[in-house]
Amino acid sequence: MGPTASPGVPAVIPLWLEPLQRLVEAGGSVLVVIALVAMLLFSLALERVWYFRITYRRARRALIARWMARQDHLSWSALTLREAWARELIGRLRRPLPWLRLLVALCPLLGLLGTVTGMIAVFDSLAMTDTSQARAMADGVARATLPTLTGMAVAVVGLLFTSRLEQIIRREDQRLHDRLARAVEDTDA
Amino acid sequence: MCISTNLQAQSEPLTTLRAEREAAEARDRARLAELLEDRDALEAALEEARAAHGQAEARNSELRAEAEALNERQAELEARQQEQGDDLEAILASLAQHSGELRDGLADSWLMVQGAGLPPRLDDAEVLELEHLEAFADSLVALTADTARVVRFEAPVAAADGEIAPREVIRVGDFTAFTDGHLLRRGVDDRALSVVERTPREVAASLAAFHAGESRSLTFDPTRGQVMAALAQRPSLLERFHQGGAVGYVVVGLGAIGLLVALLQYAYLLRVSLAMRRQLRDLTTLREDNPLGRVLLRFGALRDDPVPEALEARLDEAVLAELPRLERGQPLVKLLAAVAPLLGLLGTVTGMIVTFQAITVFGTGDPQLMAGGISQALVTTVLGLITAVPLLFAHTALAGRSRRLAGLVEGQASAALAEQLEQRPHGPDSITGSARRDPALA
Repeated sequence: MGPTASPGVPAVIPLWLEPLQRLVEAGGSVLVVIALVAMLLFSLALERVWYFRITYRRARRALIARWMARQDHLSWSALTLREAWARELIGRLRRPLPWLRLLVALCPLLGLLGTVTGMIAVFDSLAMTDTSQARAMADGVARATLPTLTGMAVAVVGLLFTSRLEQIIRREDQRLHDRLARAVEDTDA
Repeated sequence: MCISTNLQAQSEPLTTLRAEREAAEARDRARLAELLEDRDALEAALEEARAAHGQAEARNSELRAEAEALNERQAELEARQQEQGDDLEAILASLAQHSGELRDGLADSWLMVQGAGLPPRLDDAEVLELEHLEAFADSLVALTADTARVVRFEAPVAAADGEIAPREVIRVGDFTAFTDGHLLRRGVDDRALSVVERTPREVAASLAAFHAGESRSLTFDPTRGQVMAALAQRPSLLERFHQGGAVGYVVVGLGAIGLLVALLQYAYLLRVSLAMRRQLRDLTTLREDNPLGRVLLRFGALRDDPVPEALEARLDEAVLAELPRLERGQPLVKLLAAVAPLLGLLGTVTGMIVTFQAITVFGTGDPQLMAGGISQALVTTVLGLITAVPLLFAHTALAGRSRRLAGLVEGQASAALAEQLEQRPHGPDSITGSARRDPALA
């Protein structure tokens, strides 16, 4: 493509975005997709943390209060009801986790996709030009590996996030049951 | 017979010649006699002849002098030519060479289209004239000025289908020429311009905007068509897809099957969740069209079972019976999502093997062929990865929705059971007994 001779004002890119622009130029469009996936992943994870801190705690308090308000805490039906309530609450907490796991699994795939498309571009340019420029090819291959690196990095960090979230939720499951039981014991005592 | 006639024919001229000679001699003798008789006339004739002779002598000497002067001038001029000729000949030769080179070099330049004329060829010029130099300098200046000009003109242009029609063309200096939306290429002869096939879309858009006067930026190919040719060689997306070959078709076919299954199942799940929502709004009238209604109906049939544990077991059984229909299709989608990248990799590896086998057979004469083969082989990996991504999404969506529905059924069923047990008039004491035996928390 020829350079665009534009006498108009060139697009001004803020200084802090420049490294990002360089990254996109180096890695191609797949890198942008990986960046979007990473944004989605981390915003979902943060949303879960926030949900856990605020909405979930309020719901948990309401649930314990509802449980305390009951007359009957010991019958089979009461226990079943409690179980159902707790499961629903924890289920709501756990609902986006599969999506998080999907996004984490997507990152290496996308990285590989970017690498392969980059390689295709390199070999295509090799097939088109008459001279076999080893240096240009090495440069292209080095560039093509960038998406894989990015995908792996995002996947590792995302994996840390998701496993931590899983652990928190599992612990919370236990703790919810403990609290419900203890609340009854305190009233009985 | 014929000989005698010949002799006759030859004897006739002989007789005439002799007669004529005799007549001439007779005439001369008569004149001599006349002159001898007339002495004065003789004198006069002699005088006349002498005067004529004198005149001729004078003219001769005059011409001699002139010839002498001319010779002198020639010698002088030759000397001057000797002095200056080498320089001037060198100048003429270099001028002729340069004008020839310029003509050859600009033969395929855009300046030839509606531009200033080329300098004339000087290869057959004998002597350097001043106007040669002036014409060459003038045309050089005009051409140089032309490279800085944007010209708009009408010209016949051959379209991609070969049809020649007059179009409005813009020529930008010596860089490029284009119609509204197509770059142009110089034809074989200087007359016909033709559009470049497969001008990229963004280029065409910028050219059209410039052509209409809406924008001040334009795109051109600084390599004089090489980049455009390379771009035209680059396969389109569809061609790339066909490069994947059989493996590529298999991968994409499997992906399509997986997505179709996932779509159908998701539509089914959506229908089920709508029906369940309707059912949740109104738990008094149980319907057969949703899992929750079916479970509660079966539960209603078992209602009189006195033992809660047995009731719970029955309920679990009913819920379990609903699960397979909710989780239908998930294993297939997951399998296809896992298989697609593997198949793509397989296609790439086989393609590479074919390429390298070709190299072992035909030698490494052409690295371009190798590069082309490898880039074709990589296409299947791309297809596999691209197929796997939506399949993974579909699987996650299916699993999430079916799990939610199952949880809903289970929770609602347990809640219904619990409420049912609590409403039993004689229930609590017997049940509390059973619960006391099993106080453990789940």
